[in-house]
Amino acid sequence: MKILAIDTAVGISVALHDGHSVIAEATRTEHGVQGELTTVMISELLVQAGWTAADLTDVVVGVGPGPYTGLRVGIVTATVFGHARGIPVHGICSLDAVGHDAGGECIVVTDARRKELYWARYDGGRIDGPHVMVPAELKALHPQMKFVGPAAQMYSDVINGEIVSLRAAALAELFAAGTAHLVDVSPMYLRIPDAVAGTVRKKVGP
Amino acid sequence: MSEPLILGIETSCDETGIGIVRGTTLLADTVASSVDEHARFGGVVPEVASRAHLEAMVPTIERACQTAGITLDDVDAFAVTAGPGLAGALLVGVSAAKSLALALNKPLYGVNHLAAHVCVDQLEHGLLDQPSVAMLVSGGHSSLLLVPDITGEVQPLGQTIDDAAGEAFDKIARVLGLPFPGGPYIDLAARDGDPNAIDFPRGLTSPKDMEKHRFDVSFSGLKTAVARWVEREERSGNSIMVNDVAASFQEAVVDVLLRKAIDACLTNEVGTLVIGGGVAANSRLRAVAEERCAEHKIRLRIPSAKLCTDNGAMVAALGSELVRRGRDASRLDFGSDSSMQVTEVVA
Ligand SMILES: [Zn+2]
Repeated sequence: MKILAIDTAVGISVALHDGHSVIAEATRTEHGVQGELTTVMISELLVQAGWTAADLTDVVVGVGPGPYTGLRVGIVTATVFGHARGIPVHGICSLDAVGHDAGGECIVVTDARRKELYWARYDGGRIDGPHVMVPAELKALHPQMKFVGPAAQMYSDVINGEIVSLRAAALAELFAAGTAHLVDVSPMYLRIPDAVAGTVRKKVGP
Repeated sequence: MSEPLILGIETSCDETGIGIVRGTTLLADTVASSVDEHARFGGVVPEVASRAHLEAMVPTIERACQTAGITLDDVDAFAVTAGPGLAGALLVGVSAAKSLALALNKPLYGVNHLAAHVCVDQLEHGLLDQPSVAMLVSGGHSSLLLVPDITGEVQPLGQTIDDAAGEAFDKIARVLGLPFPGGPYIDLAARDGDPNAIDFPRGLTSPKDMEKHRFDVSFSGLKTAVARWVEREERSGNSIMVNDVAASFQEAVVDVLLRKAIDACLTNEVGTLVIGGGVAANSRLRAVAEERCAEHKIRLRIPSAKLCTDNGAMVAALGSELVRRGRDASRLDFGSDSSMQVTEVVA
């Protein structure tokens, strides 16, 4: 088994896993460079591992939730790669990666923009979520819970948790262990698209 | 040795286009459109378009390969629209193309959408004449270009200073109660109308405007004039002759576009005019272009209607020309560029 794992729900995280352990991984936390760098990072990992694209047997991808534009980069990269190589592509909720790394009972939070958080509750596996909510509402719902994740200190006056980054390697581990909760390979948007009749014209360029 | 096989991806607006060409021979031109999802908004909603591109990508690639009778392994190089266009929509296509290039270890060309609109004509009418003048008219662009070399040297001569030509059609269609997108409906209504019934204004054609905006166009004044005319008639209790208004409006657009395009050819001493973009499917534009080009002994090249609109074939056509001319492929870390300048042909 040679797994390629990709997640672009927060920044960019990619990993290679041979079915037993993580062979190589790379994570960048900034958002907005997924289009430029995701493929380049995968290419570098393959070189590092001494693998070629043709060696891979499975693609695992985080399907969010996450800011849409960046999230779609990882998903389309994964589905097209799987199609081109004729290998299966498996979807996993991105927050599960953090839940796995944090362990125990916790709530994973990531930035949902618009002053909201994506969150899901874990105890062994995911037992609630993912949802999208304003921090105060989430805190009121779970006042005693431990919060973890990339956005655990983003609203530190309300929620002050422990920063745990989102690693695609954790998705690969879940998949290799057979404990992943697999879902459709399509984005978990959680919101309907903003669209106001007649305000957006078909227009491109300057 | 057979010519190189190129697969092109286009996602700059609401069409997911996959085109496959061998040399200048078109093998597949597969398009999945989300236009119906946008129709109720009267325009393209970027987030809706991006979602649709993601869903359509793999099935559209699959259909195109089936149509062409090839497998992805056979492809020699990939090409993708890097810009200009809707940022989120472009990103889906660019990411898909990069993934193909990585998975199959093949070169990738990130190309300019406008240059691709010009180059697609090579699939039907042979290699482009160097230089050519190109006029691109669609819902997203109205550009007049001088094209010494489509693989590296494209110069902007003029563009719209307000609405794109296709946008004007959409807006007037709405005024006249015709559906979105307006172009085909106006064209149809105009066939039974008198193009000289109403003398609508021709923007940027006065001597004063010509000094500053010789090759630019403007449609907002025309749009306002049509809307006011319709309002005035309605206030007077007259029923609106939709066919006459459509024909007269269309005539004004076509007249201005071609005056500018012919002037650009004559001024630059260029003997070939290429017209592309969705509005190039307009029957009146095609007819008047033929008349006036013949009059000035200019060779007119317009791709068939299907290749005028946004599609993957045009991207593949430009990719193929870049390969034929031995141009360098793009580096894998290029970004999509929503405001990519036409002078930049390859990212
Ligand atoms: Zn276009």
